[in-house]
Amino acid sequence: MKKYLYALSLGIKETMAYRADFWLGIASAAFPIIIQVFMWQALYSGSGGGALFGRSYAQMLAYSVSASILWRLLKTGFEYEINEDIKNGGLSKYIVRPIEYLPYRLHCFLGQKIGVLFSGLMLMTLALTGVGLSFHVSPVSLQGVLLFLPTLLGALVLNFLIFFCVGMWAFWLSEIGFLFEAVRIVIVVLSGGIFPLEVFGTAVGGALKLLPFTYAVGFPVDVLTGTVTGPAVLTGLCFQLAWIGLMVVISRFLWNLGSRKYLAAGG
Amino acid sequence: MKEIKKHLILWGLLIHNSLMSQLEYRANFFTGIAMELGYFLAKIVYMIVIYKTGVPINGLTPDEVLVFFGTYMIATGPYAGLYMMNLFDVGRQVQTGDLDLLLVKPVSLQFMLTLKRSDLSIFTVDVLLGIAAVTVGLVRMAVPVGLLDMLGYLGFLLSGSLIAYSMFLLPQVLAFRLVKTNSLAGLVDSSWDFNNLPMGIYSRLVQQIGVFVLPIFVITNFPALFLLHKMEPLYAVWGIAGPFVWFLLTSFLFRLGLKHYQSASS
Repeated sequence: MKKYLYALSLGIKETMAYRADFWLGIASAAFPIIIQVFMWQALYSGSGGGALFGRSYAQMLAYSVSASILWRLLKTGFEYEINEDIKNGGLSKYIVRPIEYLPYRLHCFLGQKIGVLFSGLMLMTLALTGVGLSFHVSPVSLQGVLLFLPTLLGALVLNFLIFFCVGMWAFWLSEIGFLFEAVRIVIVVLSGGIFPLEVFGTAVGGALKLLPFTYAVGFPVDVLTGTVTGPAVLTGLCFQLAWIGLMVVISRFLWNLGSRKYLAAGG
Repeated sequence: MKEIKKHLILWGLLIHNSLMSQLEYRANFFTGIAMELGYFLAKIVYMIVIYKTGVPINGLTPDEVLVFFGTYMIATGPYAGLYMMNLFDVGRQVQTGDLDLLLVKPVSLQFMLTLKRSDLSIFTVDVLLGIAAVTVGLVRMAVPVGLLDMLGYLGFLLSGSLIAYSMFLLPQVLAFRLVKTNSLAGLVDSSWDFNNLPMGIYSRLVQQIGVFVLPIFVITNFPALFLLHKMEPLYAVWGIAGPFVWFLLTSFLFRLGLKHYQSASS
């Protein structure tokens, strides 16, 4: 366990070393938020101020702000490192060391995220406070915040597992090119990172909620903003945990299958 | 004129070389298409929202908004396919001293630095999807499009592209001083999405800033405004003059910035 805690601290140190890069990444969330604020303003004023997609204007803005910041906070990048490890033989060092690759990567990832999560959540609080002051409403409740924290932890782990599986593709594909980026964008859309899944309609939105992606962004944001309350939170948490369990199995299966193909190229 | 012709021929050769290199590593070509389709999905979701609500956006019907969106996709073709990747690479070339090799070539340094590589898969996907969206929007509205409309539309697309090239090159000039500008380039790049929706959704003040100060809205709004016969005369004048003003200003600042370049190679 001690070696994985060391990996965790390595992740924290790495994020602290490149914190300017992180903040510029978060700053880039400002543009889509601004675009969405103006778009929703035009749509809600055009519709007479009533609810759209089952949400009030304040609730929609709270969702847009939280989702935009959250998916950037949880954003991965280690899939490119996995690809490098597989292609250049870097994986060999994990074979000879008494360390497992998946837990090692998970702890590095968690370490990186711990380093930025606190400041990112502070930023989200500030943005939501801005929404609250503008509409004289409270977009989040204390209960919502308390329930959000376990869903956030689940989202962090689930997001890691999804992209770990994506990274495993490198065992079979000789060239990755822009594939990881293509997959990332699709997952952001399907997870509700841009708009709530209700915009796709009842049938498609409902079907998308059966997939794991929504539990990585949309579900935690809905819990935070109070759109999902009561027993639905518990149901959602059960789905999130079930997906985490299933993704662990899939990750291990892909790792075992892929490592048999590994050629240990390079020095 | 002779210099322009020489550079245009050279640009054609560079595009040809990039295509050959891409076809050698076909995964890049096809995953480039997949990536652009992914981005298209992320952008078309905005149109899904607008069509689902069916509400006019500040006087623009969803079909009219689709014409703006299609124009945005067409303009994204040259931006993402022809020069964006070069702009992202300026900082690295300054940092590693690779710029030295370009300095000794008997062609414009700005030209080589910003148009050396291209990705025709990205360019083609964006332009085709954009044309499809504009066509669907126009057909649904049953708007007749004459030859003059087409020529004006293409003209404003070209001038918008020139403005985009100049605007997005400007932050890279800082690379000569700051050396590492990747994050800054990423930040500026994300502002491209301001064109995803018509500028009519923004307040009047934001519109004026986006047209005359940092002319991000000129890039895709002007061609669509012209096609839909909603172009204000002042905008038409700025749409023609603006690109030249910005291109000359950026070229001047580029040459000024270059004086700060210190070769990092051995």
